[in-house]
Amino acid sequence: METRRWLTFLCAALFAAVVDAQTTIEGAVLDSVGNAVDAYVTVSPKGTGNILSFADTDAKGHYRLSFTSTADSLTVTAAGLAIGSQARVVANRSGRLDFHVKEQGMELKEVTVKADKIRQNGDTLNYLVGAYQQQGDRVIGDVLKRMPGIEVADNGCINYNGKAIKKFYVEEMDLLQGRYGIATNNINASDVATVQVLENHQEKKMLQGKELTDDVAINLKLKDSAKGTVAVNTMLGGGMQEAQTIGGNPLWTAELVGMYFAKTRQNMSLYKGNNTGDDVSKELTSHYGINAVPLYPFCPMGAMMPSGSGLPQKRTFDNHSHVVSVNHLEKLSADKEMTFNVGYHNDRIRREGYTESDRFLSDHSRLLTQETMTSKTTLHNLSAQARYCNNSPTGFLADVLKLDAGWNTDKVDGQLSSAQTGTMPLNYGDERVPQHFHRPSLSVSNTLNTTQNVGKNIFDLHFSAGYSQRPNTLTVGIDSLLQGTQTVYSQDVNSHHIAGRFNTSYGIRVADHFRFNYGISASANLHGIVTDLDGFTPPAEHNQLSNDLWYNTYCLALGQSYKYESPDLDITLGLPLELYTQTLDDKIRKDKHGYTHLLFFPSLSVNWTITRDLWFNAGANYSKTVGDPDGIYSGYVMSNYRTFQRSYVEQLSETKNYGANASLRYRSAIRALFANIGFNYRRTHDNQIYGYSYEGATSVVQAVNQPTIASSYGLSGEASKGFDFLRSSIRVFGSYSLSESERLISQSLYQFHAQSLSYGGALSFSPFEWMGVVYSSGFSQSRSYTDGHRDQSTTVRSNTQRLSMSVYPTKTLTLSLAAEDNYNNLTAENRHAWFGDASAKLKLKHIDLELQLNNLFDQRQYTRVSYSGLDIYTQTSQLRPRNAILTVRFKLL
Amino acid sequence: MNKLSKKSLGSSKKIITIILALAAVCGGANAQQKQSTATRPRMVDYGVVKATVIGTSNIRILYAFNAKDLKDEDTWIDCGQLLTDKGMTQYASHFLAENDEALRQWLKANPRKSYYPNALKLKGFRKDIWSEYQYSQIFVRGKELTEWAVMPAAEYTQYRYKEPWPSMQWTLANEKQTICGYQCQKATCHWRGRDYEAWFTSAIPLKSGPWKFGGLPGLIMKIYDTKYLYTWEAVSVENGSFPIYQLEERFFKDTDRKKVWKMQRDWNVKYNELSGRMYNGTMQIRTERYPYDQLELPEQ
Repeated sequence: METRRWLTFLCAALFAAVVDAQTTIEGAVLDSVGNAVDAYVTVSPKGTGNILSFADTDAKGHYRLSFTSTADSLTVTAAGLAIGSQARVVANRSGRLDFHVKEQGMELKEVTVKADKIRQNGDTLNYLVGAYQQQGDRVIGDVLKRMPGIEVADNGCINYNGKAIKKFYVEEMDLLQGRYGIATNNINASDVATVQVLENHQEKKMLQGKELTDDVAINLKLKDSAKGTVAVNTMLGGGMQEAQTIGGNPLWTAELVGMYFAKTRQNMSLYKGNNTGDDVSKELTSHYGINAVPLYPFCPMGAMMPSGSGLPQKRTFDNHSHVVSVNHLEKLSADKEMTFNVGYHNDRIRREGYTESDRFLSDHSRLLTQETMTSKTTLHNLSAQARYCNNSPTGFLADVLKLDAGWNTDKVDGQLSSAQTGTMPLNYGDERVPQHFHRPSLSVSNTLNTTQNVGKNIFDLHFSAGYSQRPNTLTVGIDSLLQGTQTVYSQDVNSHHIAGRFNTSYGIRVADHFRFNYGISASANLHGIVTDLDGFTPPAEHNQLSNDLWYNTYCLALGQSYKYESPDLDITLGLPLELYTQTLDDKIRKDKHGYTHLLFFPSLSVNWTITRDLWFNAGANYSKTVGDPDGIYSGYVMSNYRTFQRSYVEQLSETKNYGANASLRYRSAIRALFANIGFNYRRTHDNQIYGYSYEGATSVVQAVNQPTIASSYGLSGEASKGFDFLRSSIRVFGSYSLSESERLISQSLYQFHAQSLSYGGALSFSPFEWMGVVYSSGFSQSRSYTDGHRDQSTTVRSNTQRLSMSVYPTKTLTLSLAAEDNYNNLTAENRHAWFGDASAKLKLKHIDLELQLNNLFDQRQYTRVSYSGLDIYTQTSQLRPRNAILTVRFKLL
Repeated sequence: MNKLSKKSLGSSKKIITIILALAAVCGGANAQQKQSTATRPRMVDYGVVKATVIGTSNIRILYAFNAKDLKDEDTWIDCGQLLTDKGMTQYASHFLAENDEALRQWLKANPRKSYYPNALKLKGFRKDIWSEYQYSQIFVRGKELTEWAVMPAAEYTQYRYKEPWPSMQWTLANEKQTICGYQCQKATCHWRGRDYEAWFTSAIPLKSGPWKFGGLPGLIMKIYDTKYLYTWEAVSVENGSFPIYQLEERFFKDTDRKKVWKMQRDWNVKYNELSGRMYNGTMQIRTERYPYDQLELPEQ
């Protein structure tokens, strides 16, 4: 009986305990003004995330949760798409809990698992941007650098598996006409769905599937959300730096970029400016041309400028840059489009440097010079281009009108001291040398290309003509500080170039596997040049100081190429014949003469597709060119204040070129593995050589009738692979080159040898979700010497290593730290120049903030030593001191 | 010798058994494709051309439907998309949405053409075959679900019905796994004749999911019945601006759920008879029927 009572009591106690464990939480979810919100409420034991129970809110915003849990604390969360989620931690007991929530848009973590990172579809490789994008990446160029097989060079040029791309499209339209830096540096990575690499790209629709090319193109496929809307992004920033050697306070930077991408219209327009050392003009560089006739009015002179440091440009660039670019494309119909591109670049660039050179004069004497220079370059460059294109499946027509104008000036102030050492030492003294180089230029051209079907065969016509002018002046003053004398040299050059080029080709298909191409091409280049030198006292035997001449060349060529085509193998034999005429009308010497030569340029190339992923190609060619435009001046020209050149030779120069190359390429999209290796060889035979002699620090260069041979060999390769493991990718590269040539110094001939080796690699990986690491290293070694002086030459070794690390403490904050070591084995002090940079990026709802701290170790100077043959150069550059820049980015539209 | 041949006979029997078993498994796998032989309808027959935009979603979730290989779209019967705006959600085929968009662009570019292309950008496994899970659109507004059911080519009328939502009773479990980059919790339910396992994420506060599934405290990222006949799995989560289209209403006739179910079952099983397909070179109507396991079974 007693036992039964105890049992009843125990049961009652247990029941009570169970009843006790049932918790009820109720309350309301209301907005800031007390209105009900459509939401649901969940409860989970604190720290587990396991939802035990959930309830919806009713029309009044009320909810009620009943559940059983032994946990001490609970996380109660009110959630809904309109409010996101709001969590509260409460003790595990029944009670009331109200939520007051704010309505807010939901931004989800974007994820895609539906495809491999790289997918191949025939000749198209699709790289998924989301798979390569990391938190700190802002524009598509940041992500392109991470994609295996794709490499972005420092100048912005994109290579795919070792080949420069020939076209860059956004949504299959070529808006930027080669200035694709504007796209890669400004289109947001999050607006691009895939980057497509188009192998064997044929631009002309009518030739697609008929005529294969080796060209590679890139197309950006945008997300639907980025199409058809106007986006305007703005960036403003300011900062300070420690000293005023390179750059000056206050630092400023600004950007305004507008974009519109629709089915029939595209526009990208921008302004960028800064004085922070960022070279925004790179974005205006065109990386592929329109095949216009080259325009190059002769200008055989220039100012001597402080030489570069060999460091990344940002470290030494002292600028005040303004860049404006307007690009517009209008699709008139499915096949027809008009493109307009206008770019303007204004800059004030200051450089400062110190150069020591130790040059070989003879076995018994050397020339030492020391030069300190500061320069100011003012640039005003305008380029404008309009293009009409009709690219239909039945025919192709494109016409481009192009205008370039520049109004540029270099002002250099230098101090030079020079001396000759050895058996007869001579001190040439100290001189102050101001230089002023005014170099305006203007050029206009029009280029037309059309391709038509004629029956089964194809007719192609290309015509380009243009005019260009350079009225330039170089003025140099030399104040001898020891003797108190002053000399002023002034060189005027007024140069014109008129050029025209006309090509036709007609392709005939013979049987299934053969294609014969015949064409006629004609080109004319007319150079008119008037020069006048003041202040120079020439050697007695040649005292002419001015030139007034027309140098014209005319080519009429019969092109013929024979091609064998099969799915795996292409062999092309080119056998063009050219009738080359050159005339020189020297109005000062009253001499007018001409030469006509028949020239022959045979070439052979083989392309072999070994497997779907492996290709081999090889080629060989021979050519002979006559006439050297450098050898037409019978009067002296000041090339720079230290070089006066008279290069006229009676005999026409003749150069024979022999070349051969071979390469092997591999790519596998599935393995994300890309590799290539190439070899090339070149040999030239010239009937003339340029001889150097020195008068003080001044060198006099003359062309001499003496045959000379030069040859070079090069071997290079690279490989890259992406791994899913730690989202990593690796790239290795290497190259070796060897060259031999002859030099004529003070009438003695020296055999000159140069060899260089470089190799390196880069590794990028994400050890954790919240961290990304990139390590890169490059090593190079070079040596050059002349016969008989091999033991006096020294090997120059340099090595650059860079480690950068990004950490993502939250989804909105990115912290980056980078360290860079630049090593040169010949520098007397500070062989390792260490640089450190740091940045913090914070993404807020409407703005992005970025704080950059550059040159943390405050390096102020960098010295580089280089060897060329028997000459040694030591260059010291001033660096931009430690600085901090804060920028704000926001979307105006 | 005799012994040997007996042995080899035994082993060949074994091999045959294995082959048969494999064939059965493969056949079973094929049966699980849940696709009939019914030809897909023409776009002009169900109101794509003048579809109206009724909202804009800031997010888009894509689901692979019955994928053999989640990384290869060509093995999916469909890719579904879930969109939401102002308390409304729409589940519809993403493959068809892409095709519809291509047609709208084509119409804009060719305004004077008197014909429409029938397919511009169709994708997926056997893309010319109709499936009700690809061709139906599910709208949920508050507590009400509307299915816009597009029928195969031979049926020119489309149907629409409403039912209360959500209609499943969930039990939450403690198990977790990551799906499409999101941490998910398991939940189970018995619904319309089948047992389901669902994986939902509280990180996306949307009480929705593919097809008619929903009602959990977070988005359903993966759901399948315990016989693995039907599986939806999220493959993409995107932010953006995605228009929500409603098909032209005049093509749809209002009816009830049971009638639509029966029609969908009949079109799957008896497509030959219903569409009047004949044996090659004869006037005789084909009568083969196809086994079919419908997702939603009539309540017992």
